[in-house]
Amino acid sequence: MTINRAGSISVAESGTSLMNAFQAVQKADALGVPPDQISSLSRQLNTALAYYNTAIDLYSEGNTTGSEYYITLSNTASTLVLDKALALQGQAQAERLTQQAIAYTIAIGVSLVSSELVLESHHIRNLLRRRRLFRAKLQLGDRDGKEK
Amino acid sequence: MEKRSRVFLVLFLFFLSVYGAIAYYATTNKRSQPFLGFGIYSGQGTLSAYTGPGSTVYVNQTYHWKFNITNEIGTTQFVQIITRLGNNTTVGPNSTSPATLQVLGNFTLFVANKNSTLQSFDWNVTRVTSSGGLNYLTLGINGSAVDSMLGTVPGDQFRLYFELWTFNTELGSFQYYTWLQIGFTVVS
Repeated sequence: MTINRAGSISVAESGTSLMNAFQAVQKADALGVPPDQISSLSRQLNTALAYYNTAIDLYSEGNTTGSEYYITLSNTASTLVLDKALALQGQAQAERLTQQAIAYTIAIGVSLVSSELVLESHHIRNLLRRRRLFRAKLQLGDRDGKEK
Repeated sequence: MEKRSRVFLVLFLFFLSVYGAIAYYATTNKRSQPFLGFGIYSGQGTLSAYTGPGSTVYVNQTYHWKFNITNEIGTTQFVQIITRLGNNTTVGPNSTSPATLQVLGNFTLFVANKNSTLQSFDWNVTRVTSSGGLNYLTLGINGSAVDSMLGTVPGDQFRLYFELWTFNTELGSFQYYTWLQIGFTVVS
């Protein structure tokens, strides 16, 4: 079904726009956008869907003017959702990249420190032993080791 | 010195594999068992007492039910609920196939991931028509009237079937997911 007049949007185009917005929200979901933001986009998708359904109902009743009005509303709502979803996708990707960079940098740093600690463990043990000896009190004794 | 470097490299690779795995686990989205939950609440907000005692439905009494759709699939879902009318002798939907019975109504909605959505289902029987020894119903569903093409022997049960379908973006169509049913007997 299409309602085409110069400059107007068809029902099919509006349906495609709604599906594009839906797919963008799904991708944002997969990239880890927080549920509260996704929930808000989902509500807006339902608004766009309600406009779309109203447009179809009006068209089947022969009210093309009313149908075109709701098609425009649906298309505007879908475009808004699409724009927001794409922006959230970009943010989520950037945040994820930063988190990954930080996590792997820490992993490399900790690996270097751990390797060094294991390799130098005998030095550390010697150092501790020497410190213990240094702190121990010296006591006078004879050659047999007996105290005087 | 060369031996020390070799040992250091081995140790470094060992620790890197351990800490790298931890970093991977920490920064990757954890997937859980995906599912869609589908339920019907009665007018009292319970999972029982949908109709009157003995599953009776009175003509012109409106029943305010609510569908509850819980999305734990991992992404926002576009779902469709199809309502069909059957009786004790018809073949309803099963775990793999939808029914081929008359569709009384359908509606679509988006359900966000990790979210539950309630959708109203207000219905009543506005008229019972007898023909050829069978009763036929005229139903009002969310404000729209629809005549049943299926008749039932007076006193026998009708069944409302509710099928949940999800939209598959790759196929560009709705795919059957699951179903529910509620039986009722009409009392004039």
